[in-house]
Amino acid sequence: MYSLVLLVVLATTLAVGLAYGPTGRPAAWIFSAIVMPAEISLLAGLAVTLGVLAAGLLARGWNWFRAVLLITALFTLLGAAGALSDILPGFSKLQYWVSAVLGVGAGRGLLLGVALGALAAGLKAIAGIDRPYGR
Amino acid sequence: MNVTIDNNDEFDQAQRKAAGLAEIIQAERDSNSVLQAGPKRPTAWQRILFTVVLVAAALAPYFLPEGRLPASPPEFPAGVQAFEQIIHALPANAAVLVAVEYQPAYSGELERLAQPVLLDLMRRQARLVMVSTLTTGPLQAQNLIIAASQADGYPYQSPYEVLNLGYIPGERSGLKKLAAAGGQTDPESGYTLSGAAGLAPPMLPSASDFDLLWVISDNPDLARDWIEQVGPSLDGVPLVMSLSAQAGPLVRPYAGSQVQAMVVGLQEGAALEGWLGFMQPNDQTLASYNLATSTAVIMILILVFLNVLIRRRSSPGQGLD
Repeated sequence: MYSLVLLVVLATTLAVGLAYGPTGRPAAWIFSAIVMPAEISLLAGLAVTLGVLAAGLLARGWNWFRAVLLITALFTLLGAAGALSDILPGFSKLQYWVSAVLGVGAGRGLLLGVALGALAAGLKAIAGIDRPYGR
Repeated sequence: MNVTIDNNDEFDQAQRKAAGLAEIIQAERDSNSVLQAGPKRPTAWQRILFTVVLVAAALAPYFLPEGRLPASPPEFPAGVQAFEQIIHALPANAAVLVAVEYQPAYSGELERLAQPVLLDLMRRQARLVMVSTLTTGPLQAQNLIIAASQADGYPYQSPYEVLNLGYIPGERSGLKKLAAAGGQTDPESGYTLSGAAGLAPPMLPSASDFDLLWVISDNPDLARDWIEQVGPSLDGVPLVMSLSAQAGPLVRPYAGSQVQAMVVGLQEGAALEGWLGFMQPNDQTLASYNLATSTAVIMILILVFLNVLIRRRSSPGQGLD
């Protein structure tokens, strides 16, 4: 049933795009009335889910990694809200430092790790060292 | 004889692999049993409570008297100042290439960031060329232009003042071609704001023929694609970015070098909005965002406390790990 609905919607959207153009009025209506609200609703649902999961993080058991993760998330949220900037002078600078130095450093580390892993996997595949199972 | 030894070696090797796989599968089972044993799936009442409080906080500024919950006056960071200086240094009738690179889900944040800049460019009679490497980008661009035209009370006349050139296929390679030669988007793909095909738009020149390249994005990878593929060919043309709060930290290292200025998140967007003279005195949207985000933090802290309390009561011998 769901597959049928999906196929009908797919065909309808394709037909509308072909007939009236990708930015024509019917396509714009589909986009504004269906696609955009659906995506925004999903993102809002994700925000609630992440908030509740963050609240359950320490209940699973306390350790430093979880505590640091939770504190950093709350700190970043407060910085985004601009709530403490007026009360605590220098808070926005600290928040910027966490974001621009610690956050960027961690992000670059992850990207470098992924790139090195992909490079190593590629070299192993080319050299024939890493053969798939079953051969 | 040798054949027998090889077979034995292969047999041992296969056995070791099988044992390794069995260990991995067993570890997966163990971790699942640990997760299932804990009380730690959020219960329905927590989700409902969180949702209700968050929605109430987001809506409160719209129902309270104006000024009751004032949006905190945003600071004016250096990046925002640089952004404003670049916009104001543009010549009359400047040609601006606008890359609309965000998903519909983020339109609330990024349209808010983009609108004041777009209005300012329109008042300067800038000629806007909109492109995107996302399939939904052309519609987002059209929404942006329509909203800005309505707010400004001056409808831009496509294709003389604004040209929505639509989708650039090929992701990075498409951007590389755009940077190198221009004209890579199909001129027939240009549409007027009304959706009907307008006059044949001119071929898109290369990126360095514009006076400004402005990228609006929620995705650090897409922003980086513009920096790395198009940036080197700009030949002195300033590159500025309006980024969502989640994309900002990963693109910020480029600020000041490859990216001349960037505005990140609603707070900086509001600062720029105020500087350009479009900020409302009692901005309910900003107040709603600030209140909802602060409330989310408070709710998370309350629920953390409750969850820890519930865990201690349900298993008093264990306490916290």
